Amino acid sequence: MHDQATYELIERYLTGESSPDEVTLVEKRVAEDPEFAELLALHRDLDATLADRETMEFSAALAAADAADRQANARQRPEAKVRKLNWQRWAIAASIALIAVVGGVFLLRDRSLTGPQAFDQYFEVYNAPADFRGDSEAIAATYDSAFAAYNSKDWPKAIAAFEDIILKDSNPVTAKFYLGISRLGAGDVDGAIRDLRALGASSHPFTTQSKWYLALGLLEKGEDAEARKVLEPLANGSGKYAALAKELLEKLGN
Amino acid sequence: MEQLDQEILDGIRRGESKSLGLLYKQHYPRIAQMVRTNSGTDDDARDLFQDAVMVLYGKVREGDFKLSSSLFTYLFAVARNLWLKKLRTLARQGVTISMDVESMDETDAAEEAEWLHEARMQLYRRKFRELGQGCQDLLTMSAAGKKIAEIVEKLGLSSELFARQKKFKCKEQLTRLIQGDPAYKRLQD
Repeated sequence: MHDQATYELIERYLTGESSPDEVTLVEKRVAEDPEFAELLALHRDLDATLADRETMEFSAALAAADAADRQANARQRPEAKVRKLNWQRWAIAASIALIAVVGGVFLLRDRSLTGPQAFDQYFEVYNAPADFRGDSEAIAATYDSAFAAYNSKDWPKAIAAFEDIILKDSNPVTAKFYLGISRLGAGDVDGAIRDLRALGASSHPFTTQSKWYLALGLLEKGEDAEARKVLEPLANGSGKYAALAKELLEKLGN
Repeated sequence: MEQLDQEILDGIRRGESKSLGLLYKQHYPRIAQMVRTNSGTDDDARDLFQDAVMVLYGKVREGDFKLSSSLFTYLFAVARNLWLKKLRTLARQGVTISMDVESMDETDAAEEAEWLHEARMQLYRRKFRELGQGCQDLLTMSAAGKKIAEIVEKLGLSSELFARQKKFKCKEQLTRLIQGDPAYKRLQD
């Protein structure tokens, strides 16, 4: 963590815009303060990294190839499981099927839900508030345009608007929550998980909802065990999300 | 060198994304296997594979790079070395590691330093992508040398003062993300 004055001092030094006094000050601090020296080196490296557009683009393309490979593997996983079934597991599966048929309930189909299937079945966009009051008129107007984009599922626009609010609003919990939902809507699952996990760890009006959507994000990513860890305490509570969590855990099976 | 390796390298040189898909299909599974059998997770394996590919990309960009072995051997050597570095750090922190990290062979020190540097830069790029789009756009334009007035106009920001403050917040967020990642310290050693 560093303050704006330190940051600007470093910026000017790295761009060669420092006064002679500032250059002396920076060099003195580098010699005396290892933390400052590390920060200066980090900024220098960062500037060089961000300026290399070609490598940045290649790295982004590589991340996209990784996401595609991850998705392809997640799709193949249920099939792989079926191929690995031995005769004992087949016998158990057949018994469960028989019980379901005898009982006249098609439980087996629901219990075979994979994480991404569960996400598709349970992900619903959380309703935007009809009338949201922000800290100031300017913030309220920004929220209005963010929610307009959110309601029309224009995710890139909604994400940009909520991010903007987070930088300006003194208490941006609402913006952070809807940003997480927007990321899920846009398919930025990693980003959504990161945002919602942070929100779910603190107490505010969206804590429960954040945990629910975090669990959905984890399921979409194929991290079923992690999703269960979030869903189980939710299911032990009360209200709408407890009921939903209980139902979803049953459908995910063991 | 196999013809498929040559095609992948040529594709990387030309910036073709389909080469990356082929690269994953051909070489990622065995590197992931190496990580998983040596105390790592799938996510570790994916980060490590990307680090190794970025080292390769850096070499390919130099122009006169020629593989003396197969593409897999090269990627495996880089990935294994970086993974070993991580395991050694964990072992020093008292985490029990199943493999004998001390008995593994060493690589040329200069080469290792170069690989670590690239892995650190890749960490920065990875963390940059965790920023919101607004911050990414602003920092990208700033790094490209755009003047603050142009940034204000292009990104529709309210004023130059706001743009400066936003840039500070974005950069502060990015440095916090980087410094908060355990890999940051490890890759500096």
